[in-house]
Amino acid sequence: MKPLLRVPLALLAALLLLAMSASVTSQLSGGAVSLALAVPVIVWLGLETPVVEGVIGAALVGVVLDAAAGGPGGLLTFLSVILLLGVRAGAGPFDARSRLGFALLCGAATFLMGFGAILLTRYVTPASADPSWGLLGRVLVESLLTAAAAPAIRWALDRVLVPAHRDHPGILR
Amino acid sequence: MLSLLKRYREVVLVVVLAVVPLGVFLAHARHPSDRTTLDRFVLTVTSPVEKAIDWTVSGALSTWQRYVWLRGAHERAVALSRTVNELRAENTELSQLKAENERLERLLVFARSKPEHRAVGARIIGTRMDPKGLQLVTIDRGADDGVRRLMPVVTADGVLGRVHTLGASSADVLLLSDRNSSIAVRVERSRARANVRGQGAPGPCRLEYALRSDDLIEGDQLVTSGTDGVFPRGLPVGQVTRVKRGGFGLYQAADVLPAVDVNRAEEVAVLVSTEVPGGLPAARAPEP
Repeated sequence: MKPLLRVPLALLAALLLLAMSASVTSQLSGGAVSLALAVPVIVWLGLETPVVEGVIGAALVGVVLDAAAGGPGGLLTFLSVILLLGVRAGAGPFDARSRLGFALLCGAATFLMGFGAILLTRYVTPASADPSWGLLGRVLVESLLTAAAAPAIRWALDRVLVPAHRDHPGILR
Repeated sequence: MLSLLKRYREVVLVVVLAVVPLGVFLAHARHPSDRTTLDRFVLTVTSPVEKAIDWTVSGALSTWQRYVWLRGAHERAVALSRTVNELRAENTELSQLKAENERLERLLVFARSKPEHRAVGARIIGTRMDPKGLQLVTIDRGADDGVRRLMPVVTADGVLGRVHTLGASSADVLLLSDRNSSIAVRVERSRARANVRGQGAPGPCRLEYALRSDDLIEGDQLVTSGTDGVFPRGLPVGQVTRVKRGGFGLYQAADVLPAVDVNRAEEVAVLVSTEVPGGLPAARAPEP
């Protein structure tokens, strides 16, 4: 698949998964828990695409996440790019392409993204309005649920986006 | 310089894509603005998908719960049915209590509107309207309660009859629809005098002894005249429904629709103290 086509498709997949997250959590828990189904797209981009393609895709997915989250613009875009780089750096030591590895990586990525968002938001917002650390429990549940759903998302992404067979691990390779 | 950029273009791109959003975030986080066009675009794109998923999931869950997962549904249905029956019974009872309360309230208002009468409230506990016998109802008040023979019995709508047979704690009331019952009345509008006599069955009574020359038309209200020695004046008796004026004779006749539906009366008042004009003969006791 051509890189120019994979990025828009990844964006579309992220949009679809965002909508699914909102709808499924609403249906099943009424909002008591949340899902971050778009994060596996970033993880997948980090694992399966060259760095330029991946970082552009991650940034676009981050823009969409920012827009959907309604928070300050740029936060999730920045975290998505960082996340992509983290995946590229961290996926080397273990088999991140296996179902379990992908699920664990997605869970960790979701948690770190949530943690990073809370941390940065606390840094810039007034003390009276900053997010509580108690939100980390919710982020943890979100990470577990996202990890559980990740293998299915990977299965779908493999068929729609087609991996670029990135053989050499590393941040820029 | 250009070759340097070309050589490190990947690094530059990564840094730019990471730093620019961070800068945007840090610049705007302290002064959050309203939603942008991009936000609205994402919302526009994702909401149809959310709606479609919502419709599908809701439909699937609904189908599952309604048609597949019916474990315990029968027991629930039986329990609910039982509850519905109990509530219906309770509702019926409450409706009856409400209706009774309204009837009693009307009776009370009626009794209070005639302070010259002292009334004893009673409940109809039996009816005997055999066409071969008298038209009677039994009330749960008798001699021990101060009830005496020939005392008028009324409801909030008007005259029901008079006490016929007396027991210690109950009494039979001869209804105005009995053929032995004759009540002296006046036409409320024209003050013409006449008698209302029962016809031996619940339903219309007969107006008799109304002079042919008297002013009487359909719809006229009839009230007791107080001249029969039993009923005080002014109690509603019925309404003229059909005037029959023959080609000759001294009197004219008419049908009378009683003010009280004897089939529906439940609570009554016995007027134990009434202002009856003195010197008038007492009403004759009926003969079966």
